[in-house]
Amino acid sequence: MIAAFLPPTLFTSLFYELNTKDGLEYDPLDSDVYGFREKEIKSIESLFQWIAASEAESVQFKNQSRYLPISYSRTEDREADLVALLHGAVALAIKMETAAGSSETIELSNAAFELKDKLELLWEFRHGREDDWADLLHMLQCCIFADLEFERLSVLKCVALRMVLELLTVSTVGLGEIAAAEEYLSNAGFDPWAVISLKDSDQN
Amino acid sequence: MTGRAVFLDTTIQIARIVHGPKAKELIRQKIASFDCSVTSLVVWEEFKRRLLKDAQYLLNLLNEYGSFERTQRHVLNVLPAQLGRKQKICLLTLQSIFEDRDDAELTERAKRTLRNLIRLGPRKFQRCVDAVLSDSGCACAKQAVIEITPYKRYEFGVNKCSALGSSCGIAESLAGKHKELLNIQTAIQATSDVNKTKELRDADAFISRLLSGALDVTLTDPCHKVGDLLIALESRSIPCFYTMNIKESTVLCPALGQELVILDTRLA
Repeated sequence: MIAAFLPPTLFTSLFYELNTKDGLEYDPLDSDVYGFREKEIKSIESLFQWIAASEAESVQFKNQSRYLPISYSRTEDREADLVALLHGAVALAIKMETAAGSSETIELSNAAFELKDKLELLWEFRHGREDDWADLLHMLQCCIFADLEFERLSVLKCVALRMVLELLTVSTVGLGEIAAAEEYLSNAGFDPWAVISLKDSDQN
Repeated sequence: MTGRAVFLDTTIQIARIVHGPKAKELIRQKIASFDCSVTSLVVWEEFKRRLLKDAQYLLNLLNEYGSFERTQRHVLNVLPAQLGRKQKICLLTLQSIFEDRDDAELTERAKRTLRNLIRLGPRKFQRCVDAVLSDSGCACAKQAVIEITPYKRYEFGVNKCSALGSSCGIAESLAGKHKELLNIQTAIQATSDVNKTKELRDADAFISRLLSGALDVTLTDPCHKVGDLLIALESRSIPCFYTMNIKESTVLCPALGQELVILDTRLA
């Protein structure tokens, strides 16, 4: 019905825009789709209402996007962020090694909490990486989150954390890296399987 | 084999992964008191069947429900009490460690852990001992664990000796163990009926038929049906047998002249 009010090209363009608004692309020449749109826009008033609403939505989106971290706007930037985070995490593990070696427990705990937060940020990147990378990160988090008494971390445990973090920096993580991580963590006294284990209170 | 060696049975190998921190520490200390630790092929087969298939079971539920919470509810409400007790993996700890996470994240993390367990299980099993005794020739144990669809479908291979036919080496390995078999049978028959478990009765019947020559060993699926007996025979050269399985081991170990070391979880 609306076709009667508009030049054919403008109608087609508007029609395309209407139908891609929800992310789906319809063929403008498809009669079924055509019929579907006709039901929604029954008058020129409703068309103007839709244009106004869509403009408001567009402005809102633009405002929102200003608050999004710039790094999330492009893939390369996201990768750069990931690399920076990983390097920051490794640096923290080295700091923890030093603190544990010199019995600076407060320093050690503070660095460990900072590392814990960095791992949370890394977790947000998991969908951009291979499954094995995320599985490895999850295993590392399980070890760190299971016991928050970071003051007690030994040098050996800090070294293991650093080595596992270094495994996360490789370009493609595979089963070999996960197995190596499991070995480093277990040998250092962490329990990568604590999350699926009984608690002492449930043992019997 | 030189030095003091200890044999780790299925219950200990599983406990090293999924029991509480204190029990794990007790096991670690006990093993450290020996010069070397060994386990066997049939133990691996049982480990695969009990622990890794448990992981597959939970993955199935997590995939079906798409929810950690609903999976937990299913396990608690639907699984019969007897099976519930046999279930090894406890997902509740994951929930308490990641307590502030939503259901979707817990579901994802549970799936990631279970995938890690299934894929790393074979390496972990071998790596945490000095040797895996393979003279039983159990072909089921040699079946690889294969990932078909990540986080979803895994193949554990055939677990019936009868389906593997001539590649099953158990009959051959039993051929030279008449003396040990007789000792075990005598010990079982001397056990009071009250203490004679189903596993011991099955072992007794198996030995009788085997020694009378009226048994096609492979067709009876021995690693599936008389696992305790086979593990006892596999371990016979190791002086100490470490287990949580008290009922059968108190009969089988003395029959083979082994020292029985029991993990008492009440101490944990």
